[in-house]
Amino acid sequence: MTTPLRYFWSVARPPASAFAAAATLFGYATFVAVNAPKDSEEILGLTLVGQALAASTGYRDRLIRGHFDPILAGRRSRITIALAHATLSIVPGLVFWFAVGLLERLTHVRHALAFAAGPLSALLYVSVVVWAVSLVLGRNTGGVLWMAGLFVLAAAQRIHLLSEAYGTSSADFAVSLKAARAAIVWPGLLFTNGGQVELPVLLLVLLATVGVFAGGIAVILALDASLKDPS
Amino acid sequence: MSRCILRGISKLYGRRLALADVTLTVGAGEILALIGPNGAGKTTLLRIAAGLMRPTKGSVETTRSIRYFGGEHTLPPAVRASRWLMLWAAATAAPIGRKTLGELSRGTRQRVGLEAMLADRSAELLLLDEPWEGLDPDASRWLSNELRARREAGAAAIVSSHRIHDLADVCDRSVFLVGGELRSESVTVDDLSAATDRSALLLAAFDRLKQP
Repeated sequence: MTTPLRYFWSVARPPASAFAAAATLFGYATFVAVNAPKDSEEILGLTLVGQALAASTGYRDRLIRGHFDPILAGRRSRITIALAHATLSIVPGLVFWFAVGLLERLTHVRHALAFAAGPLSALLYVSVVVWAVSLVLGRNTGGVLWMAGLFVLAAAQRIHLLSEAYGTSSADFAVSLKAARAAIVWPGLLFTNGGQVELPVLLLVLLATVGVFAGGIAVILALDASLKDPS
Repeated sequence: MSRCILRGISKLYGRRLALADVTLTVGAGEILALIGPNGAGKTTLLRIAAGLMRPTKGSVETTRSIRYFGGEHTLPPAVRASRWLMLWAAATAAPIGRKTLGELSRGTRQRVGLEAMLADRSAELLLLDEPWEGLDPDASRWLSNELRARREAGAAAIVSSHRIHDLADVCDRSVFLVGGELRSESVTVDDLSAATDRSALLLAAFDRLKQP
């Protein structure tokens, strides 16, 4: 019997166009790393946007078409299914991020922003949120909604308020909570200060990530595979 | 030894009752025909038996070694047919070339889907929804022979189909589902063994049961 990971890789992996886009972005990243290493933040930002779309693989839309029937039939638990789906959705983007980070480290002397705590936690958080949202709403919806939300925030001129909340440093937990809330709404803030994040804020963002991940797993466990059009 | 025991299965879709208190058992080496008009709840019952859906009421006990096939329309269209077969360590006699499942003809897609699901010869319970649909005579014969071979090896199967003559050819027993209710188990192994025309027997029983 095939494994859930192998099954999802065959049935639900990113389309060829996503691999082509990743190759193009990596080429651009190489160019930037060699010619303008200070602009690596831009590459990481583009990677984050790409991951927001790539990790939104969707689940329910294919479930109700019966595409996952063969791998779900006869299973007492869907935990391995849920973990395999999350892995396939999120890990390719993480691998790309690490490749960009290695490129960054190889081509300039300062510490690689890709491996700093802030950008890494932003990547994890965004990946998990868009994956979880798309489980029910469909492919790409997580990424599209996330970007639409950012445009709305920018249009409403709320970004600077979030920046202020994030930039305030204090040992007070309430202040850290406010900063974490700002980072959760606009993860781009985690790229500031050279990617350094105060520990309480980092832990709160990671806690939110784990919470959303658990929610996504629960959605997969709970969804019934009723066919959209039973024959 | 029972491979599948369904006890008091009911399923509600919103307010609509799709299955009402269905109880049935399928033993090792037995092929059960599930017959009923469109919308009777056959697909829902098979999907509940496969563990794909939860019943609103009732319990399901099955072996873990299950193969379920819901028809060619449930296959992922963008996957290359050869890759799909490789995934299940299956082979095909059908001409698939480098086509995706969505590019194959309906009959070929149905055959490829069945070949993939039947490749695992250790499966103990086969749940097949309209498996003869779209198959040509050669493929139909292949499927019937395959089901008989599995029965000989001790596997159980629940097969739903409107192709009564094909079902009658392979089944040991039949149950009739009408409006979500299991009407009777009136066509037994003995009835089928004694019948000179098995499909006529099933059709007559089906016609009787459709009466309100």
